[in-house]
Amino acid sequence: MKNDAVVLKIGPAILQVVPAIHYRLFFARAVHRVCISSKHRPAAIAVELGPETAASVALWIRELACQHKALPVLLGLLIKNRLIPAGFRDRAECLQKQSCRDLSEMDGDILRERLNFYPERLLPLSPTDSIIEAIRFAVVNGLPVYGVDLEESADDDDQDEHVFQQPVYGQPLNAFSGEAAGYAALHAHGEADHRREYAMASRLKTLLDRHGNVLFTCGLAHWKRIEALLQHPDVRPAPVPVPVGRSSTDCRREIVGPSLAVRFLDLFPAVIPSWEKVRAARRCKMPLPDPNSLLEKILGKSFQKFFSRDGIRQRSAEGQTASPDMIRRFSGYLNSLALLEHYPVPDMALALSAARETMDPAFVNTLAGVFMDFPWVKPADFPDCGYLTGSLGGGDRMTLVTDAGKEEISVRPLKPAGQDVLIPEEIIEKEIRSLNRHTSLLGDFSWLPWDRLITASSIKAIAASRQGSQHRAVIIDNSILDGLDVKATLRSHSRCENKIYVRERTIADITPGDSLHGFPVVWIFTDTADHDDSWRKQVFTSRHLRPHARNKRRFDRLLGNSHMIPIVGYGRRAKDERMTCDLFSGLVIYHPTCFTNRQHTLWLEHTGYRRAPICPDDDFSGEVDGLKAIIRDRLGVNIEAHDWKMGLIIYALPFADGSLTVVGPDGFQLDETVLGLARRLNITIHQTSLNHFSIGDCQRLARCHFAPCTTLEPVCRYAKDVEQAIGESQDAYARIVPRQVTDFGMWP
Amino acid sequence: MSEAITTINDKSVRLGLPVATPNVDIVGRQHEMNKILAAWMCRGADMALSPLLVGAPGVGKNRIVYACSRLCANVLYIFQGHEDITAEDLICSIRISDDRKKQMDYTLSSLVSAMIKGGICFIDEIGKIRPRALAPLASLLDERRYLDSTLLGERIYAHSAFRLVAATNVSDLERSRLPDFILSRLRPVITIGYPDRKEIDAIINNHFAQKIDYGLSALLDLFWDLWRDSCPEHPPTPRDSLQIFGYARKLADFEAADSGQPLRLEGQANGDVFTKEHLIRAFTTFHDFPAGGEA
Repeated sequence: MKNDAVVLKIGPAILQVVPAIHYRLFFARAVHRVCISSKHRPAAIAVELGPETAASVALWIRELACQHKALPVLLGLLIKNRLIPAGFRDRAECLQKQSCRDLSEMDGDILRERLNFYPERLLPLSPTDSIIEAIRFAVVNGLPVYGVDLEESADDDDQDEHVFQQPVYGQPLNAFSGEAAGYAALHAHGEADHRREYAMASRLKTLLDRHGNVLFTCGLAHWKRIEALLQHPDVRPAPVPVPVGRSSTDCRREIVGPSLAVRFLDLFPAVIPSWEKVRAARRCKMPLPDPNSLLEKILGKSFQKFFSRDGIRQRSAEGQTASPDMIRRFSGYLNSLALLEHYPVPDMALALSAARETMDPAFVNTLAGVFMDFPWVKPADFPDCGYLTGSLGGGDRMTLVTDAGKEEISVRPLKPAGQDVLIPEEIIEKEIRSLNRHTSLLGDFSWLPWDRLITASSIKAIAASRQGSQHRAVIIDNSILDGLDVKATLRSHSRCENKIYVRERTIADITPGDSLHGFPVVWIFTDTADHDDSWRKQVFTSRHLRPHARNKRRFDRLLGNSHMIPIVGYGRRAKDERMTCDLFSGLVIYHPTCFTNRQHTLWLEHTGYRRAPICPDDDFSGEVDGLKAIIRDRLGVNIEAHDWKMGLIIYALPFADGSLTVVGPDGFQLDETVLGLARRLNITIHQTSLNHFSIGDCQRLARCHFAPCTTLEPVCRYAKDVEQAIGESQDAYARIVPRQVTDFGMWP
Repeated sequence: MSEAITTINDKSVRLGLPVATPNVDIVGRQHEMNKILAAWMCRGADMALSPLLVGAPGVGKNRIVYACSRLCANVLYIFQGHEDITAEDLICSIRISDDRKKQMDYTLSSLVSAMIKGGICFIDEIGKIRPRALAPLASLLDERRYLDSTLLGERIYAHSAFRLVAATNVSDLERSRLPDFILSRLRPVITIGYPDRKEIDAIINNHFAQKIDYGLSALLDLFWDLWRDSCPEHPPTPRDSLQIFGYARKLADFEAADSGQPLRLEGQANGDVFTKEHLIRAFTTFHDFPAGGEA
């Protein structure tokens, strides 16, 4: 049988190499074929992992092999990292001098941003990866397995992005890797790569002396340089460290959730069951399933689901359209995209990207659902392992759920085989939600859909209050628009032009940045308040915000154990067994309340802790005595002496950044005291009418529920029965929140 | 701004001029360019798609289109969208002729010129065009591939090599959504996101590395720190970054100019003293105005 590996003779020894693109089945298959061939079977296996990491992987695979025929999908090891790239030495020293702190005392975000340091990296045990396949075979067949790479190294992330032509099944590995490895070697290497390649070459020489026939698999980009070093007589054999076993703190076993796992499973997860069948059969010539036909099946199933009677009915109700033309458009675009991205068969990332750009969002969800329809490993199967899943913020952040709770962690960005798979947020949320089912409730929090509505409406009000009188005259063209422009029409007639002009409202001359500067926003829903009404406040506790603070010393000094107040209202509280509800006659919102805790903290830091009241006591009740004292100290005003409507505006004034927005009923007038205070503080008050908003929205805005929350990070989630009690989905109003709010501080 | 004269059913019309795209290297954006090119490819009976680029001002939408037109080796016509465009402006306009024998000249828009010449038409800021003015595009963007001009009284068919791409700012799309009949025809919708730090650093390096005698990486660190502190809403765009660094260099040049000599506005260059103080001053000047605003 023809050898699938690249064969290199070094003296009397033979080195069989599979230079691989990580997580691609083509290369795992090549490793498997070499190993099961009686003619080429190696005496030892070497992989591009550190000795102790390789031993940890081998140990876990040995344990798994006793209980499972197929490798559970997907498990992974979280490995501690202690190194910062050497190229960042000057920057690290400068950072320590500037902050007067040791690197170990600095916030993880700062270390990541400035020094490219990640405290952990993930090693997925993907059945489609050549390294994992090599270790699997070695473990089951009793071959010695060696990790020949350096145990720890710091990547400087300056490497070019390699665009490899993906191999076609059936293509000889020799032909592919000869061309692709040469191309990859032309690209820039990171500073650590040279040291790693030198170590791998010298350790391989030792193994070749010891075993005579070794199979080695490594990343395609390393191979040409390792090959040159192996043939260089000056590179001497080096001892291969014998692992003593990693301590549990350096290497943690985790379950990798589906939304993360799909990045490491070849083209898509559906190839794995067929691959496990091929492995189990141990027949060299047994063909792999054709990925093209698998993809066709997946697409066919998605279309069937999407264009089913139920699917169409549901989308019609949501006002979305679906036509068979879409299929043609999507398929043509996907094929062209695959051609340009050098994919013989489009993978999941390309298919979802093409769907997102050409089809309805509902189809993207359907397609992602069909792609991810796979027997994933469940938390109950590995109760000792944590559960690692994607984060809604995306990027290199992941959510780790353990018995101790849930935390967001930063993991060195993993380069998937192809482009990154962008899983629809709904699917990630569903995954996170499924983990929350057994976690305890965290207490009452404001209902997130209401926060979204009040935020989006406030931004709309800010825009409306600044465009109110901006009309321009245009010549009538089918539509009377905002009415006849009498002056312009008369002028036209006086010039004998005899044209009729109408008033057209211009688009607001307001930029996204301005919208956030327009806060606080005062809402007055009614002229007369109920006799039971009193002042109420909502609070964010520093406990939830502190983990996100970039400068914790400053945070402690300015906020400490106090609370931040996002909303002050005038109204009454209705309470039943399940939840409470504030019924407002009016309120002040100091900043977007649908922010995540991270965004709230960033807002505080960005605004110098000056744009939201900080409540100086530990009082969680609705009383606002602390705030009244602040107003008395800063403005010398006693709130009690004023009407509640003016009181709301006075509460807002000290926290405005040059402007304040007031939304009130038609005919609402500001009194002279408030105007005088605003003049004194150099604040412009912009007014707009409630008429810009529907009656339904105004009624909804005046009613804020508080419900028990199952999770806080990254966003509040509530139990299903809360949705039923309120009669509103917890995802409601998500689409109306402007991008400047959802994206605030979310960039890497 | 018209060039050759052509005839449409014996009517003599003037064509718009294509754009000479600046021949500058583009940093990154390979995937976005592939998406546009993939949309323009057509095999067999497939129709070429007309992509819509959506992104914040200054992220490099236009540059991506220039690069794509160079890759296709095809002429590019740009139609600049704004609020005052009417349906007929999209197709054709008339003006008093310079030729005394004729009374009027028909001048075709860049869109129709590209249709006739088989070039690429880039409709910039399509989100600013009023929905009713976009109505004629409906027939052009589906399998009919023609436009009806009331002014000319003719039906104009698109050349088979004609391709269209449109772009809009996210804020325009949020303020006044494109009508569904256009949005459903402008596919794929390609989001042009903010470039990451690596790309921004590379762009600055390409433009200024030769001209700054101060540690560029230290200046870049400072720039990112300033940006994070003053504008956490979004990362800097290439335009923001180039403008701030460019202005800092101009401040350095201005300071280095000999005060005894008349100031030369062109060719005055002495960027050797570009320091972090210049960068801070430039940054402060730019951030008196809201960042990320309209172009």
